[in-house]
Amino acid sequence: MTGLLLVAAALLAAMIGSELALRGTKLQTGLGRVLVAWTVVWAAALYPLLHYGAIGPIALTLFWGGAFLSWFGVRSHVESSILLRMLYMLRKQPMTEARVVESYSAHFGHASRIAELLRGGMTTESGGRQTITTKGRAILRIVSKLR
Amino acid sequence: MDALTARTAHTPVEAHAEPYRLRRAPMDSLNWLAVAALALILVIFYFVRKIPAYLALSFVVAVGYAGATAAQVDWHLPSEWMVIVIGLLFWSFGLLIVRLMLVRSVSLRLLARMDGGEQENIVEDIAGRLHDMRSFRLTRVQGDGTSMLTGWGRFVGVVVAALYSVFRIEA
Repeated sequence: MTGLLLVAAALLAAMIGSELALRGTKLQTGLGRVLVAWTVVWAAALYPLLHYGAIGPIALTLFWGGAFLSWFGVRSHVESSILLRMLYMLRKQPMTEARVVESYSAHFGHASRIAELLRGGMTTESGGRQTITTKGRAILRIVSKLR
Repeated sequence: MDALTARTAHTPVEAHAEPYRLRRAPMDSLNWLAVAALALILVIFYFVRKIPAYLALSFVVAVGYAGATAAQVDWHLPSEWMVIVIGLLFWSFGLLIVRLMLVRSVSLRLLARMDGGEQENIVEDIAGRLHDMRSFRLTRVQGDGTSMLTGWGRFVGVVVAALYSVFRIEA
């Protein structure tokens, strides 16, 4: 079971490292830094796991990819989910549905989403107009193939 | 000692006589099958767009791998096999979330509307989540027209608050 404990410790280290790398920024903005954190922990874990945990590099890499994908999905969902945000808002007090939408839109609505797309390099602004970048179009192409 | 012999050795002494890295072939059948199972999960993710069907098939692959390889596992050193099985389940779950994000993401829909030159209105998308909250029995509408959390909704709300705090997300 030493191997499993070492893997769990490495996973915890990667998740803590990710939060430190993000430094409070959004996942979409700091994804590069997060990938570096996960890669560094993976590389550091290879030898101890092979030597003391009887877990080879292929098994660890397969596990690591799945763990990263799951962490990314959950982390990103918690950060961006409209439903969870509305639930959080309703914890404070009951509201009419119109008020919930209004309150959500004021803080996390259209303007906030546009700003996030801009920060993520998916759109660019020129002369007060938003246009999609090559990166944005590439993402849309991938999305249309996988949706 | 080849990889299969090491895995099926009957005595613990024999199985642990050499360091693990010396006993192992670079890539034995356990690993080949794991890579094949992962490839199959990725193919299923690409071709099966219905979420319940994807979930069922990918789960069958992960459990099928576990069942098919259990006889090859050296039960004195099961960590690697367990890590692979958990890894396959992580891939299935992670890809499920990715599919949900691709289908439901308001930001991606906004980007697609901008690309198509359509009006960039996301209020309908946002309002649709209120309906989802009722469907999932997280909220109920009171007599005065206000929405309030159900017991289940309050529980999920506490979990969300804790996650916002752990992830340092602006509350």
